[in-house]
Order: sequence, then structure tokens, then C-alpha cells
Amino acid sequence: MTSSTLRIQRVFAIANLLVAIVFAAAGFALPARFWGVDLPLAATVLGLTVASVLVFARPGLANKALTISSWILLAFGLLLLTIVVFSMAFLIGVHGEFGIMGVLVMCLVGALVVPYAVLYPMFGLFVFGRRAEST
Amino acid sequence: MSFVRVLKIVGAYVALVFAACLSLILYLRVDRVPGRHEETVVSVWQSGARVARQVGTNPDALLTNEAKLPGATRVYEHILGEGPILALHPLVMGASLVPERDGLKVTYEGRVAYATPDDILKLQAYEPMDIVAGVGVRLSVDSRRVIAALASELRVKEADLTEKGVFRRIAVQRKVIGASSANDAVTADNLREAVLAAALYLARHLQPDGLFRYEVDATSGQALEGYSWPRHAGATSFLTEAGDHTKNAEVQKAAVIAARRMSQFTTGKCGERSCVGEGDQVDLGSSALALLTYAELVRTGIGPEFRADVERIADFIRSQQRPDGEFMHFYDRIGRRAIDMQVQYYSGEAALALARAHRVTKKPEDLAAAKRALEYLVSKPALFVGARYYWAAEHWTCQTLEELWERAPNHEALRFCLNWQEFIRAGVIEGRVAAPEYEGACGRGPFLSPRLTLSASRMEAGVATLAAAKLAGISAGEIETLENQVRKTLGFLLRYQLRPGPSHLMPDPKAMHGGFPGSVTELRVRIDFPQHAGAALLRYLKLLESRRE
Repeated sequence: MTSSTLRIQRVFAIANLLVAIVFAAAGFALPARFWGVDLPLAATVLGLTVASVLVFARPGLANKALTISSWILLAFGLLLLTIVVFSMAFLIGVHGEFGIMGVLVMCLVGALVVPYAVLYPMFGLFVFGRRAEST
Repeated sequence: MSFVRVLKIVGAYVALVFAACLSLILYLRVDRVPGRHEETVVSVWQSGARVARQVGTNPDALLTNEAKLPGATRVYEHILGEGPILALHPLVMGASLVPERDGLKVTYEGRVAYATPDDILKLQAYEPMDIVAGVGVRLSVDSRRVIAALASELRVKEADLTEKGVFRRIAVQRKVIGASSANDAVTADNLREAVLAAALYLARHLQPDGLFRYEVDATSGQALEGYSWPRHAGATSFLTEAGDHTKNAEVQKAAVIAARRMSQFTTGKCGERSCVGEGDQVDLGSSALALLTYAELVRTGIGPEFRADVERIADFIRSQQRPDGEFMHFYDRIGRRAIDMQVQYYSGEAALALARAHRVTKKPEDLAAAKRALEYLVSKPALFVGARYYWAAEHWTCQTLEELWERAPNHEALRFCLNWQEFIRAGVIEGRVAAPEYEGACGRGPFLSPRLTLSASRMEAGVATLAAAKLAGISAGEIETLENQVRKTLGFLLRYQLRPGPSHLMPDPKAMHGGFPGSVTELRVRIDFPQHAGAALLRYLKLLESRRE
């Protein structure tokens, strides 16, 4: 394993840990507990954390662990996005067109979810998929 | 797995979700084309209660005899379209109606009952605050209360109705027979009438003891619990200004009685000084708005007896000011010390009050304190982008700007207020398909009906900014943009003033005449609603009149 590969894996491991901390804090801050939210959130936080630990503890498994954690995060991100988009579709169905404010709300929510929970894991899959193919 | 495959999976997923969302939108949407309807719910209302109802395709032929009852009003609610309700869960159903536009239809064992927008308004069940997962959420409708009303109408148990009933959303267009449409023309004559009506509403609701009927539910005629001294003072301040402008004796008399109540029974000691408020801890807002009132009463000659009050309350407010211009908003009477805590509004109120008081006292320290406060309020905090008060409650600040302009022009404050108005313009409702009548209102989100006080207080500041901008020689284009916004929003306020509003839902419409409700769906009038709306309309009226001179 080259040193550049190791460096990239470690950068992803740290970034994954940061995402896990943000999600854990957000989940902890929720005012009520509901398994439908807690379970996927806990699975995502756990998956990201375990993968990060494996990168440092078992470098041989790093590529596989980061690929799986990227899939977990992507699944969670798409689930979150689906809920947001369906909520917006419901409200559009009820209220009809609701102007620029509604579009802004939608864009804001999207901007909070898409880069970190959809684009980031897709980038991870791109990087580690290519590395898996080349090895 | 290759990245191309990942892209394909995500792309397919997005396409699937998109298709599902589109299907959901098409499934839920209802037509709202005015005039295109088959069935009409015809109701007859008398003294605020529904006394008869029929449903049919030829409304003119229905309930003709009942409509002849004394004081009866016949209302057509044309059903423009129907749509499904996805679930009866309070959260889902509560979000499934457009406030003030949609009602519910339920079919139960072959019988049909309707909860029309009028019924739901009468219940005051639109836009309740509910707690969902520990968070306060404002839904479109309180579905539990509406279902209870429908069950009562059908004389069945709620549980049976929810189990066997088929619920549908109905989009409704209301027509009150014999009622003229609301006069929302922003003309001097109409503004004059609206201002007087708002002032007379407050005068009518002032009791002999000098206290207002604080909040009145128009649909029941009942006064609600609660009282606020800052709001008492604010309402009195508007009565004074309106009394001065209209020269109406009833309004002027009410202003003096309400001010006497503050002066004689609610003014106490804060250390060595006099302040307004009750209890061991008093707030700055009560004293500030009382000072505003006293200063106006003396300046206009309506209440010269309050001159001493102006001096002593101004002294207290100045003593609450910090060296940087900010005010300490509370005073501990037991500990005889100011409490350096801040809440919204009070600093702006204190600044405006001192600026007005200076016209009476002529004391340089009053003017200096007002100037310093304004400078503080419009200065940018080093570590917080949300201005001093979250860029949300600047209506008093911008009135202070205008009040001080001729004596102490502050160009930074003018830019601050112009920017704030630009920010407000971004949130003004335009082209909302489901509710074109909200045009011009300051919105509170895309799915809720607008609150009138939000628009009113922002237009108090809007007109004040406009006046200062004209004096400052701001470009004609910017002034025109601001004035167009002001006129649109004032038009919205005029549209929803209870002149008479949906009087068929009120047991005593005369008592409510001139009031401004909390929102389009909240038919309750609290004393600060006509105060803010009336003051905004009066400011613009004065501006129009000054142009004629």
C-alpha cells in the first residue's frame, strides 16, 4: 500500500468521524426519541465510526471499510433527502405553487443534506471503487 | 462495484423518487378555478351562529325563507374542487388543508357533513400551535376539533366517525350575500375612515376603570385572559395620535382616561425615580410607551396634565441607559437596581419615547440619549451578523430615525432602515395561487396565513423610513420601490380590518367594528393589533396629506 493511499484513507477516516460526530450531536439534540429516526441515525454513526477505527487499527481492511461506510452514509443521505422531498411534494400538492419562499426552504434543506450525506459518500465510492479496481 | 454503477443506482433512485413525488402532487392537488363549481354549501348565519344549511347545485333556490330571518346572513361556499386526505393522524390531517381556503367533507353511512372554512373559522381551529415530538409546530388545522364538530353534526361518536367515515378535502370559494367587498383602496379618505374606526374600537373597549378589554374573540364576543402594560401604553399612544389627527372627542377622552390609569395607579417608585409597571420587577417597555403617550398628550394639548409625568418618566428611562447607548430593560424594585438584560423592542421604544419627550421637555439630555440609543441600535455588532436584535424587530428603531431626522439626522440609521425594508420586501407575499387576497402581506412562511401585526409594525417603520428617505434626498427609484411596497402592504391591512370583516361569524359585529384581527384565520383582536395597524395607516395618511399642502 502506497503512502498516498494511506494518506487518502486517513483523510476520509477523519472526515467520516466528523460527519459521525455531527450526526450524533444532531440526534442527541432531538427533543423526542423515535425509533424510525434513531435506528438509521445510530447505524450511520456506528458504521462511520467503526470504519474510521479500522482505517487506523487494521489498514488492510481500510479500503473495504471505507467503501461500506460510504454506502451506509449514502443510503442514509438518500433516505433523508427522500423524506424532505416527499414532505415538500405533499405540501405542494396541498397548497399548490407557493412561490419563492418555498423554493428557498427546499434549497436550504437540500444544501444542508446533499453535500455531506450524498455527494461526499459518492465521492468516497468513486475514490475507493477506483482503487479497488486498480489493485 | 464500479463508480458508473453507483451513479446508475443513484440516478435510478432519484428518478423513482421524482416520479413518486410527481404522482403524489397530482394525487393531492385540487382545482381552485374561481366560478367553476358544481355544488355549493349554503348556510344561514344569525347572531354569529349557523342556523341552517343546505347543499345543492342551485344555491339561489336554497334557504330562501331562512335568509329572511331578522339579522340573517346567507353565505355561499362554492366547492371548487375535492382532494384526498392521506391519513387522519393529527399531524398529517393537520397539514392537509390550506388555512381559510379549505374545509372538510365527511361521508358516513350515506350521510354527508361539511366543515367549511366558515365553520372552522367559527371554531377558531385554523393554524393551532401543536407539539410534535416535543417541538412546537403550527399546523394548518386542529383536526381533532374539526372531527369533533363533524361528529356532533352527524350525531355520532368521534371514534365511529374516524373509523367508518370517508374524509375529503374541499377547496372553497366564499360569497357572503349582500356584503360589499372590503375597501382596500389606499386613499386618504379610506385611510382616514380606517384610522378612526381602529381608534374607536379601542375607545369602545376601554372600561370605566381605565383598563382595556385586552383581547376579544370576535367569534364569541368574549374577552380573553391576560393584560400587558407595554401594550396598554402602546394602545393609549395610538389613541392620542389618532385623537389629535381626527379631533374625535371620544377618542381623545379615551386616551386621557387610559393615560390617567397609568399615571395614577400603575406608576410607582424605581429607587428614587418614577416608573410604570406592577410587581417587584418592572420592564422598560411600559415606561417607554407611557412616556411616548404622555409626550403626545402634552404636545397635542389633549392632556396638558401629564407634563410632570413626561419629566419624571424620561428621567427614569435615561437612568436605565448604558454608556454605549443600550438600555437595561428591567428594574429590580426590591434591590433598587437596574437589571442589565435585554429583550426585543424595548430599546427602540425607549429611544423613540425620549426623542418625542424632547419635543416637550426641550432638555438636551433627552435628545442626546435618544441619539445615542439610535446610534447603538443601527451599529453592527462585532461578532453577530443578526444586527442587535436579530434583524427582526426594528420597527421602533426606524420610527426613531424619522422622529429625530430634523433634529439629528443619522444617515447610517437611514441606510440601516432602507436595507431592513429591502429585507422585508423579499418576504412579502406575491402571487400565492391558493390565496390571492394575501398579496402584499409580510409572510411568515409559505404555508401559513399572514399575521396582520407583522405587516402593521413593519409598515409603521416602512412609512417612517419613507418619510426620512424623502427628506434625505434618497434616489427617486429607491423611494418609489419602498412606497409601492408600503401601499401594497397597507392595502392588505385595509382588506382584513373588521369593517366589518366576516360579521356573520360574530355575535356582536358592532363591538368588533374597526378592530384588526391577529391573522387572517385568528379572529381575535388584542389591543396592540389596532394600535400597530392604525398607527401605520395614520403615518401614511399624514404623509399623503403633507403632499397636498
